[in-house]
Amino acid sequence: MADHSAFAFEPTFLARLERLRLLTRRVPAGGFKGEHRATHLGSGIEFADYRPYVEGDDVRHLDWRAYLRFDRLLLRMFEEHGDLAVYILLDCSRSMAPTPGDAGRRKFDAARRIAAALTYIALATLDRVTLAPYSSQAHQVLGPLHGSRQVWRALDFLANLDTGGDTRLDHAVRQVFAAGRRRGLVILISDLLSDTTEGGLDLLLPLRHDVAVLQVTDHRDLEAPLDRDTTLVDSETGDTLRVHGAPTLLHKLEDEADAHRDEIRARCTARGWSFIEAPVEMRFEELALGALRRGLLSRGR
Amino acid sequence: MPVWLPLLLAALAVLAIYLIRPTAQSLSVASTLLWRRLLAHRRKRHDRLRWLLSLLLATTVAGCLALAAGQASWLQPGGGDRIALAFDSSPTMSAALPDGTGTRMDLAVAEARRIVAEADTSGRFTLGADPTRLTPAEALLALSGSFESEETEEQPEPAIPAADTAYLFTDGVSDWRPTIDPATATQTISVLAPARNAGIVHFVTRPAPSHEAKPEALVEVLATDAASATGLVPVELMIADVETIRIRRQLELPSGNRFTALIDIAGFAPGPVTASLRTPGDVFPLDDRAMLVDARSTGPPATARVEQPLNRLRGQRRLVVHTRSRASFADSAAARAFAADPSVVVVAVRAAADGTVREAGAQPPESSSAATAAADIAVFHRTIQTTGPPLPSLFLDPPDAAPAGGLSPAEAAPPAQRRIDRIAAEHPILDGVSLLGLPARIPTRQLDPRCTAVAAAGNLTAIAVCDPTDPAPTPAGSEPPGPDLSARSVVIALDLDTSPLAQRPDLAALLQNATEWLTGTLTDRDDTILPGLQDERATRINESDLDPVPPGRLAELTRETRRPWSWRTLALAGLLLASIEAITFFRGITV
Repeated sequence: MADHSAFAFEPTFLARLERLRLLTRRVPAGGFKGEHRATHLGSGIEFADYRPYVEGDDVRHLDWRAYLRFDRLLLRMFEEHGDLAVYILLDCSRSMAPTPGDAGRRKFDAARRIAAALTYIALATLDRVTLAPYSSQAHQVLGPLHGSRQVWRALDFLANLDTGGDTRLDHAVRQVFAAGRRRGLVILISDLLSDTTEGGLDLLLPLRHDVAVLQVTDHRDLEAPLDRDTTLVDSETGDTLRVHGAPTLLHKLEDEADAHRDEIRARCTARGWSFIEAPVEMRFEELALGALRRGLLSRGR
Repeated sequence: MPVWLPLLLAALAVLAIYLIRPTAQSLSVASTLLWRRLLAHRRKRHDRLRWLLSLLLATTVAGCLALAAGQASWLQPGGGDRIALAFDSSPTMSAALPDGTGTRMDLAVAEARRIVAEADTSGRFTLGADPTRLTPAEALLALSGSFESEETEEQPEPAIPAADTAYLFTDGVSDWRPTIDPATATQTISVLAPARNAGIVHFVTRPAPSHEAKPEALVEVLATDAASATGLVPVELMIADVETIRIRRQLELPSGNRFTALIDIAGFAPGPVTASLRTPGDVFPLDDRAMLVDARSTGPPATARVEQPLNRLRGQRRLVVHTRSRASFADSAAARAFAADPSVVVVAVRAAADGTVREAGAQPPESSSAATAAADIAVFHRTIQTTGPPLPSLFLDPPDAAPAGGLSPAEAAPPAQRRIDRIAAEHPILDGVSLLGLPARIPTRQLDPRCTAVAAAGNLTAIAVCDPTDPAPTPAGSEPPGPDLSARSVVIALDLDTSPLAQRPDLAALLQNATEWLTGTLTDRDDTILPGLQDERATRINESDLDPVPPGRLAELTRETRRPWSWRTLALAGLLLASIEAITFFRGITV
């Protein structure tokens, strides 16, 4: 049995999770029964709304009673309940846990907690979840999972993950979506500290998925004792970089991190994707609130 | 210094600078992505420009330092003042300073360095009689430790090159007066530092009045002390012969007072007699020792030769000596005088058979012929010239001077003893030589009309000089006798071995002047130039019209003067600086 202590959620917290559901505006629901609702002319039984008739609409959906009452041709629309394909890409590169020990794994643990919570939400709403950890090392892809009974399997999977290798988002995208998976919601959980991030995101664009990028950040990444010459060693590649500067350089590094984040955020926004910053200290409730604001999650069923 | 040494030192310096830098700490970070982005942005924007500016500034600063401190001659306009620096070369300049930090000459050099250092960089300097104009840096370099000896040996009384200002560094004890253009502004820099000195000012032997066969020595000691000192000067006087110290006396002399003693030397061992002084705090050792070469001679009074360097040294002269026999020359006063003169080298001694004058011109061996060819002067000691190359000739006590062209054959007259009463004091070979009153036991001779008498005792010619370039009146209707005079000659018709002249420094000076005049290195001097220091004046090292140097000034000037770095050194430093900058940049240290 895997250790789930890293994301051992309280019952109350799970109860709150069960009131949430993933939301996408661009991707149609799938054919399996699920709680993901799509408002369009369909075969659902739950009335949603009217809309004016336009030429070419199926006359079988006209509401003749409304015509008699308002003297206008209106079409009845029904909510269709289907499942949503959710792809959670979890960064398992070395940069997510650059140093040994719990302190060094803060980003990875936070990323796994987020992935677990989102998986829980998706499975609870009968969405189909695919967990795809990625790095330069080979990782098994789990899923698609369907049904709330798969939660423990997903948690076991997440608990057994470990970090290692470089960040290779582009390779992961090619690998996961090579089989022509159905359109869905792609959730990328990463610290985004890699040159391959932008290339991987570009690969997602023609696949017409809805994409949500969650950047896990740790302020310790921006801390270094720069009182003398320092050789920085990249935890992923082992590359070294000599720097010599005053502590004021750290402020400039923070500015550079903000600029890097803003660049990716702007790229996501331009594509209609969500971008959410997830500091390791942030509780999931706060994160969910941010996700609610950005339309990734919604409350209620 | 070998060429590789500075390179090795520079390499070691670079290595040391590289090694003493703190080693970089190693720090593992999640990713260097942000760092690389930061550095890339900063370098693109500023760093290369900053590095170039820094390198340019460093190079400029190093270059300016090099040019300014090194004072490269090509950078200096050279249109400034012409400054002449002349140094008194009299013996008292070698007197030590009271604090023992150097000599008066050292003080003079330090003052000169100060003047050079404070002068405008466009000024040009000459040192002594050397007309070469030096930049301040070159002058400072020339005013190094070896400067003193060069000056005193080569240019004792220099003719100062034309200049705007001439600085004369002297203690004012002697009558040192360099020849200076009247238009030159002269400043005398005093290096007089009064100090204690006791010296032997007189040391002669003479027959005792009571018994002429019993010699006695007269010694006089003079003591002087610093102007502020009023106490007694303790002096230990020692008289010694070749075997042991015969007399040792402790004296206490008031400053400026003289002590005279008559010493019975009849019981002394044959050979030289030496008088020496030992005085605490004595700063001038040159007059602390005097020697009588042949103290027990029963002849006329002998005067001691104070063992101090001859005042005037010129270029080296090579002598080939023709003598009656080797033994007669080896034991002669002339040989001792030549031996005492470092500027003279006797390259060969050619001896004829005793009493056979003609054999002096016998076939010489090959080596002797080569030596003659290399000689500057032919010396004829108690013999005469027959054949040979037309070398300038010095005749010492010639038995018959006619063949030499100097004197006419001796008349048949008994030797007479008279005292020299007439000299041509202006002639250069008598410069610094005291002959008046000296007994001359010479045969009567008539002066050759082509020669000039420079010393005479009554109607007897003691010393004559003959110069073919100086036309002399020839009696009408008479043919000039003797061989052709194609070179200068000097005839010293004194019996040097029996004359008291041999016991005095005058003989060495006379022979030195004669050899110089014969080789043309001694020219007629301006009569205003006075001869060098005499014995007693040298001993009075504090008697000067100049103000003494304040003691505080002494301590300041004797402190070692730091010589500025040469422009090569600073250029090397600039190169090192640039190298370090380059290493720093290319190793990615600069952020």
